Amino acid sequence: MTQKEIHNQRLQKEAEHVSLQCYTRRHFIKESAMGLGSLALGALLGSCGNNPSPIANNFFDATNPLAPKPPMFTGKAKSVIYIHMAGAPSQLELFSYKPELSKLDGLDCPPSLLEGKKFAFIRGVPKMLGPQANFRQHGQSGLWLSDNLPHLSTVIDDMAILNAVTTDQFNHAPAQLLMHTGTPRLGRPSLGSWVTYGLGSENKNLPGFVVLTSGGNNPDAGKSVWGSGFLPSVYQGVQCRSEGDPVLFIKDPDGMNRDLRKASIDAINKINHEEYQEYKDPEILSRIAQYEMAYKMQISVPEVMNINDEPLYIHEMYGTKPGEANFANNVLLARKLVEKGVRFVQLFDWGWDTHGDSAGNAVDIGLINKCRRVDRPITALLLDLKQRGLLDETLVIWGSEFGRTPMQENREGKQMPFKGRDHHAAAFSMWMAGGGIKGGTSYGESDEIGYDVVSGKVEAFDIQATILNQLGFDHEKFTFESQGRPFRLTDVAGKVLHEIIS
Amino acid sequence: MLELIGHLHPLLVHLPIGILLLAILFELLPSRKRYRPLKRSIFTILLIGSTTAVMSCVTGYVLSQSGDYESELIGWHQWMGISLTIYSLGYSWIRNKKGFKPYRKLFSFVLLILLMITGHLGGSITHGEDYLMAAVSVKSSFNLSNVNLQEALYYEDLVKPILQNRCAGCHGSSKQKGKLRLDAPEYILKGGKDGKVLIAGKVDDSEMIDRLLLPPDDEDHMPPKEKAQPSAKEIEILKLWIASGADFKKSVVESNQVVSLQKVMSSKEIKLITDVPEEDVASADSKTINELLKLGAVILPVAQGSNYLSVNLINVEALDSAVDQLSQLNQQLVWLKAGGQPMTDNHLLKLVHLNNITKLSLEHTRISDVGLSSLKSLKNLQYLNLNGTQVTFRGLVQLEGLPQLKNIFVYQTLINREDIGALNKSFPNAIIDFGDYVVPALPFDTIVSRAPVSK
Repeated sequence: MTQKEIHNQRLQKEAEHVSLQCYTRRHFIKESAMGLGSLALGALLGSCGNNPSPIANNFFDATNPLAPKPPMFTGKAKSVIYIHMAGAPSQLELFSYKPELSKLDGLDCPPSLLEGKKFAFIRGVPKMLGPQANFRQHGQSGLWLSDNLPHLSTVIDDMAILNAVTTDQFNHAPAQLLMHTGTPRLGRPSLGSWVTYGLGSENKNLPGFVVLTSGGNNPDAGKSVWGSGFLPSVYQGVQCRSEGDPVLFIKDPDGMNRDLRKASIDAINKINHEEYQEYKDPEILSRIAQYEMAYKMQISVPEVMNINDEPLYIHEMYGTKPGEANFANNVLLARKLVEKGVRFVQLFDWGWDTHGDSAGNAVDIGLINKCRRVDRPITALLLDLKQRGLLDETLVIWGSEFGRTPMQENREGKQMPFKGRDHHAAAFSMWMAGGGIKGGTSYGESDEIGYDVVSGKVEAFDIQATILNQLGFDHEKFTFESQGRPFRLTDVAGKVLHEIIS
Repeated sequence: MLELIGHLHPLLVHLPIGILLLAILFELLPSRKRYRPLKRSIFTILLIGSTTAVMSCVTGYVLSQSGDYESELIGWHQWMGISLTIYSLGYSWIRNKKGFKPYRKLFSFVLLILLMITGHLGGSITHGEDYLMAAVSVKSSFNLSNVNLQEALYYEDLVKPILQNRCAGCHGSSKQKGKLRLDAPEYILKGGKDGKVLIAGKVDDSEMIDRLLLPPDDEDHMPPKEKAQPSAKEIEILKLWIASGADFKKSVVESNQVVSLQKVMSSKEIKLITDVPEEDVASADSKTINELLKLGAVILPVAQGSNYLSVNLINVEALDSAVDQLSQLNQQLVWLKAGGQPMTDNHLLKLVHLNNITKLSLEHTRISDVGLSSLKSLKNLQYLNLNGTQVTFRGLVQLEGLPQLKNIFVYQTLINREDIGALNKSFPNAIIDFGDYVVPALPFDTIVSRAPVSK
């Protein structure tokens, strides 16, 4: 830099300083919005110049944030159905066969298992509780599965079971957040948001990320498990319902017809456009796009969310009851949505928290009933995706936030009225199917009583990395710039589970 | 400190190469008037070049003392380098002497030759002796499956080729990273800087196997991530060899390993059949892409940076024009989803030339047997979804002989399940899915209210 340039720069800085002193706070806020907007626009235009092809771009397009985008590499899966059993079902009564544990049934838990450990409810010395289900080997793969899931046993050769999943959170909400957003604290985007941000949505009339809940409650972590965190808000999950209006507040109120609605949305959008011209804030364009999407969804969502048109044999297959808010209906909807090009369908079924404080929460009563409500629809989903030629490109994940202890729960040191188990973070089971996953495999092993991981440890990050990998994303390179640093879903961890990929 | 000086050598050597080459180039220029200013600078350039050559010699000597390199090549490289340096110094000194002028070009030519030889020797040390010609020479293919296990010598015929191909590049005669050589029995037994690399009979304690099995991202993983990796089969062979005692003389028969080796060798190497062609393709005409986008088609590269395209017609209303445009993508289109669209046989006729298509979804369209015959030319077709169409057995068998076809979906078509035998004969490599799965009602499906009596 020559002497003259340095001089000029100093002069310019001084001039800027003087002019800034004249600004009021209002000026500042207004100008900074414009500055940020033009910065973002500059980034957009910059990438335009480098990519002459109209479709090769993979940046955030504020005018059409849900435009389909290519993955980093060709992924096997195009869409995801993530079935989350909120409350944490017992792995010891479902997937994790522990004959040794039945020998210890009723004995005091050895102190070596309790030293330095913290439990959500167990106090003092609990008794061990043997598996409350019979296990059998199934399919060509000979994987073990309990009799609580008789239908699922027929499709076990399509599933890859992870028997050594582990987490460091033993309370529902943080553990659910960790599973879905990569951190036990609030504020990060969920898996579905990341996926929709990366791939967009194929169907221009439907949201890219749909959430369906059943079991009477939302998951403990609330709506943050499908939130968009620091990603543009258009990527958050859209919660739909299988009973009543599919999306709340989307129906026109009485006296408002579709033309009037269109006119009012056009008017709002016109104002928003003017606002955008002034401030150039891309979030305004997002908002315009969202109004238009909502208008289209008024027609398309009730259509796709209506399961009455499905033939009888499909209803029999899934065990659906139209008009009810139940898990089976949600599973059938998930298939319909995926078929229509929705990228990520997240199902939550609440009520798996089998502490043994009531019959409904007993591992030998309530758990069995919960299983019977999900066994048929999940099996039907895998078979139905298969016969429609969609299983290979649809990744199905079944899991929960953690598992349950091999000890019987003794809340406050007292015997519980029913057989139940406490929260257990160290070892539990999940499974994946379709979407390029190697069927009939099991990965990872817990010890003889299902207390700790012996081999093949899998963390939430590994599952997230694998899901992204199947969709064509390198979880280490798939980032979003926020607050001055690029963020990843898996933060600084995660390895792709190549062992279960075909 | 000394190590740092040594490590500067690979950096510094490029200076004399570049600078001296420049001097040579100037020297070889014809003596025209316009080149005179350049000619005048030759002396200075030579002087700078020679100085950097001296520096290269010093750093190179230090590096050679580090012990990672101990080959014949080093000696040659060292002496050639020193002669080059002395020669260039002498040349710059003698150049401006009276009466030397006519020999300048000759001398610079000799300098060029010296420079090339020294440079090549240096390159051979770092990249391996056959690096330069590797691109053109036909490499003897490294194929273990041709080995006759009954006659083979364990080390010589199985283990050695693996070590030669995967390890000896850095642990061989020209380079000894970590002071380790794996190109002859005595070196293998000696081990490297960190001790022995294998313990006969103990696979789990053998450093070599440990390193091979570490995740590729691990710093200690061997071979380094960016180098060619041994196959699972090759690692299995090394493990078996160590388990059997790591003998360098015995034959496979003597080691009693024929059966277990046979098992390893016959296991198929996983060959990926990808649904996107490996060779590159020119990018599609952006006019066609824009046209399709306008018509509402979801058209995307299969991956960032790829010119292969996937198209989903889910949002398309003007199907005729969209299919017309699709036929322009005859090289680029690999996945096409037209499910639920009013596609007819006439539309299929326009897809005849799209012979890179690997996945084609035509479920719930209006196509029939006639249209299917136009798919005969899609030689790369792997996935064909005909669910809910009016195609029959006769229509489908027309596609007999499509070599890659792996998945055919014929749920809710006019094809009868009884024809599965004939279809399996026509499509021996494909899975034909008739669908119609049912989830039977089981007595377990009722709700329980009491704990079942334990058995």
